[in-house]
Amino acid sequence: MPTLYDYILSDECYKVRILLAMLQVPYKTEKINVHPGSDNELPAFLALNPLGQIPVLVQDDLVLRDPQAILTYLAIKYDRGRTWLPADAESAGCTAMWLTFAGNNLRPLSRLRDNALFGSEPDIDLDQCDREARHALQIIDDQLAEGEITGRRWIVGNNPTIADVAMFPALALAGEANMPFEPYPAVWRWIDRFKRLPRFVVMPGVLPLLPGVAA
Amino acid sequence: MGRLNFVNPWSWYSVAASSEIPRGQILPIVLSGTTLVAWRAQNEKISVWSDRCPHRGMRLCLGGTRDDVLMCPYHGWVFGSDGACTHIPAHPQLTPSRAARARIYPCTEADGYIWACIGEPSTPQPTYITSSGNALTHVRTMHIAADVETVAAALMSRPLLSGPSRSNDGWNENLIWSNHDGMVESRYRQGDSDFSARLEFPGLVTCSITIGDNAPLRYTVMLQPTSTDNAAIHLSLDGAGSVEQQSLLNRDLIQLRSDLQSLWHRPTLDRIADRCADMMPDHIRG
Amino acid sequence: MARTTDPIAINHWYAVASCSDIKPGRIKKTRLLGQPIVISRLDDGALSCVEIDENGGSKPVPNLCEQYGFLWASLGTPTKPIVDLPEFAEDGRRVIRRGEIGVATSPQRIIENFIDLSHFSFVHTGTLGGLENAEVPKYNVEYREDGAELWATECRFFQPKASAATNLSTDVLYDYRIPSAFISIIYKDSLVRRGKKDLIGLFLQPLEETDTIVHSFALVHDETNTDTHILHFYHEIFGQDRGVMIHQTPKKLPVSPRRDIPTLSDASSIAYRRWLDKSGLEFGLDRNPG
Repeated sequence: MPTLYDYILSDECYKVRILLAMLQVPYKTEKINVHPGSDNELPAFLALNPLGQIPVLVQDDLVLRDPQAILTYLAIKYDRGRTWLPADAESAGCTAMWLTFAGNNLRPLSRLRDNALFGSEPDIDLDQCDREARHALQIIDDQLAEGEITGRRWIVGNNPTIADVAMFPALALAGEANMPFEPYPAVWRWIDRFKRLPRFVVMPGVLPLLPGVAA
Repeated sequence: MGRLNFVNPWSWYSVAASSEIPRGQILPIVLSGTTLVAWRAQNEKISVWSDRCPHRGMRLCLGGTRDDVLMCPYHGWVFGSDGACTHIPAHPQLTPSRAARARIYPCTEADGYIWACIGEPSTPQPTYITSSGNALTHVRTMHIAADVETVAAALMSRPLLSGPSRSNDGWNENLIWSNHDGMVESRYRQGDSDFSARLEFPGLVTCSITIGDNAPLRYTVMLQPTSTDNAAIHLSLDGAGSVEQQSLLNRDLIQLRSDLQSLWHRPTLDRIADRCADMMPDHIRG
Repeated sequence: MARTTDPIAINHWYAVASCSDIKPGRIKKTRLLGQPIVISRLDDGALSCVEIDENGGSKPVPNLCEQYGFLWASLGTPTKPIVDLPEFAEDGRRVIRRGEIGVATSPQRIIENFIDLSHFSFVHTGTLGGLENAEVPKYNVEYREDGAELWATECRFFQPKASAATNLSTDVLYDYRIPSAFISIIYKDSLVRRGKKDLIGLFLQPLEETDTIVHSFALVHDETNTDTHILHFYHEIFGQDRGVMIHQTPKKLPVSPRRDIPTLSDASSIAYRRWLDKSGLEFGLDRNPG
């Protein structure tokens, strides 16, 4: 059984929690006091991940950091249907492309949110981050709008993949990064579609489809 | 304030394609600076309300809908499609007061689009009907970081897809302008290619591109002022359009937005917008 | 925002830091009521808090003290002492410092959310409330200390999981205490030590009218869970609250009774708004009559 080093308010950990739930993988949680504790900077944790970041997934001798890597591992290990990370070259390439996008180009959204919540970057250039975040949102809206024209319901093809999972937290929490919803209607609809997936789970700041009905 | 008038409380504006809000779906919208929520009940009825619960000011677009009601996510207040609160979960036996109601806005559905008005509409329905009589095929709703007047000028001076002046990076000023019936027209001809655009106040641009003896390609853009500096457009093809055609249109639109949002071509666009405004009938000109 | 001119807001005590966070050599730049301040630990170990003016000059804040492990500052002369919480000195409770979390809204919106019960079933589904038991029984609202404190008492709600310490679904009793516009404490039944109360409190630091830092703590009876486990439980709850508070408009709290439509279970919020209205406070409030 894998162990997830986790913090309930982390959008990066949420990526992994979502996939674990959707793949119905039982797991243990090791809660880390990231805020206010900064326990992820202590030697014990750095021994696990020298970058001092969560999530970390440990299973037997395997220690994986980086949520995109963890999603990749979980998809290959547990997804019998091989839809969450398709094996054909084109789909695998596109999935990798959007996984990297989630890891790099959605960082400004995450940084804005982290700073609003925890004051993690007192000297952050808010205008620059805001511009980059909106640019990323526009790119995704264009991609999803293209999909609405061609009948591609997800970021890669007609099934949700780990690329969708990797992008979901930052986009669903974009309001906490002070982003408006209205300019990105295709993203809004994709978020709704994602919430309807079986075994979808929320996190604080992400509302369920129906008030009072825990996802 | 732009001559296409950012705040126009007596006109209908398109706010979404009908297909963007199927049954049981919610969409946040902003029209002329007013934050709205559009949603469709199971009985197909579309509603456009202020995006604000009357209880404690929570955004209703973050709530949920089932059957013919909308629920606020904060305290679960239930609203029927007439805007009245029908159920307060904290007091299940209580009949909610009549004051507990969402603020509703006029809305209607026509030509495959949802229309809303932030004030009292001067006509019972939107007055634009597609000229060809064909149904419109919705291609894309896109938000642009430019005011509605600049967006109109861009659409009047540059054809999407094939057409004259396509090889230009910017905007074509060699247009022939005219007006009649309260509408402004721009036209450009090059070789056997002909592009014409017509702007109908307050927010409709219909374009036609003819190449040689081929049937004209017509598309319609509905303009939606969202704020003083921003606009949304709803692009549709007259008649049926292939997926490939729609896809190409979307890509062209993305390029147009990119050029619009860059300031490089603004002086040219401003001049085109001025020419367009000169052509507007006096009773429309601001 | 420039420093507020509201004298009532100026003459309050505000928590501005957790003392143990300010290590030697570290400085913390923040704001209080629009006024930039800098907090640091001097060589002799004392904590310092200075106001920075537009020219970069600094002078100490007029009033500063440490209490309950927090650093408290006032830009004026407080008319009331810092809220009395003897429970901090009592044995048997776990002291959980919940850290600072920013919320882009007025402090009064945050207090109003904190004292509200009827959102439990929707915002904290599965822990503090559930859809099947969303009804809020009548409770009591009263003023104490000669009108200086507002209390909501005998509040009762059915909770599937009232705290990290329990998985027992049961009715839980709550008292809410509002000793100032910017502070609130919950006293709720401990399900581990019958007859004892767990305390959860918010000390708000307004950065400006619509941006607040929430300093918070819990004093709870829990023999089974680690500090981090308890912390995560509270962060989950607070994160859920934050997720709705940032989407309320207007951000400043309306105080006129004609604004917003309350219902019976809003008795404490109605009293809080009326209390604020009468107090003459301007900061953080929307006084439009509507």
